[in-house]
Amino acid sequence: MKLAAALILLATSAGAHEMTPAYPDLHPSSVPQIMQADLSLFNARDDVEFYAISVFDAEWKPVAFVSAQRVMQVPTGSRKDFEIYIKEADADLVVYVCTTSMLRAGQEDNTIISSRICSRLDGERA
Amino acid sequence: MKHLAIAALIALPHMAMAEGVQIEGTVQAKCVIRTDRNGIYGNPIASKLSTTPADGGVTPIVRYDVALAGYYIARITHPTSFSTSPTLTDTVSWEGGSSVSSVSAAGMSAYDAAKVEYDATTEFDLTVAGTTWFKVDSEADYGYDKAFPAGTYRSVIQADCIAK
Repeated sequence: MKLAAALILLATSAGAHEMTPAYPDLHPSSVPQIMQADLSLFNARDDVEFYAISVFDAEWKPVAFVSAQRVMQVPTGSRKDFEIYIKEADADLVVYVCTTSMLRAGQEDNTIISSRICSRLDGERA
Repeated sequence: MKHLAIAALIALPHMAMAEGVQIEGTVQAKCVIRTDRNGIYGNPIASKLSTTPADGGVTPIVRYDVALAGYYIARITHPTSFSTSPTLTDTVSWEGGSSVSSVSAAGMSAYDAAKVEYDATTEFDLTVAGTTWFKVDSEADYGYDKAFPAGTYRSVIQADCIAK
């Protein structure tokens, strides 16, 4: 019975990836001609500690951006606030800002779940 | 009279503290992806790896929590390659799909009928607030009934939650 319970636990790997807000406000930063958006990520995945940030246009083509870290370390059970900066000229171009879980090599399970959450920078839908 | 004044002075700060306690909360559009269960491939015959329980596998489960209805799309992509495997000299054909496993609200039962499938991806419009569990099936067949070489095989499921 104990062995069966242990096997079930091995196959079960709970954890959560959360990013807010869904529609971050793109506002002028302290640097001229640079726009800024503020976001927050919560990591409750016990199998993931690093998340990559990416920014896309409406066609899912990457858009140049700057952040303190392109890949940020978010220990399990903690929240991290982060900012992205884009050129003012790209403000009408950007649509999605996403965080993607970075999976560790050598994880035990056969199928691993990579999570990605994307917020919209082009304003809340009508 | 003097004792009454002292008692009032002692009581005042406590009264002020009791009045100053507030609890605030915000409900906003939010999506949370939970990896409820990573999968395991079963190897029912030499040429096949499958997450189907009948084949000895364990089906991966992804849970989506949305705080408000109609703000997000769930996009789940089943594997089309191994992230880890021994050297393979023949082609691997992949099959898979995603479907609703459990729901927290009755309206979510319609997600399967309304889902959009293309390539290896399935999209679900999360039109109801609450929790939906999706199961992801994955099957790999090697060559023409060829035996998979011994070793460890791993693949990755991509679970996206995209603001509409």
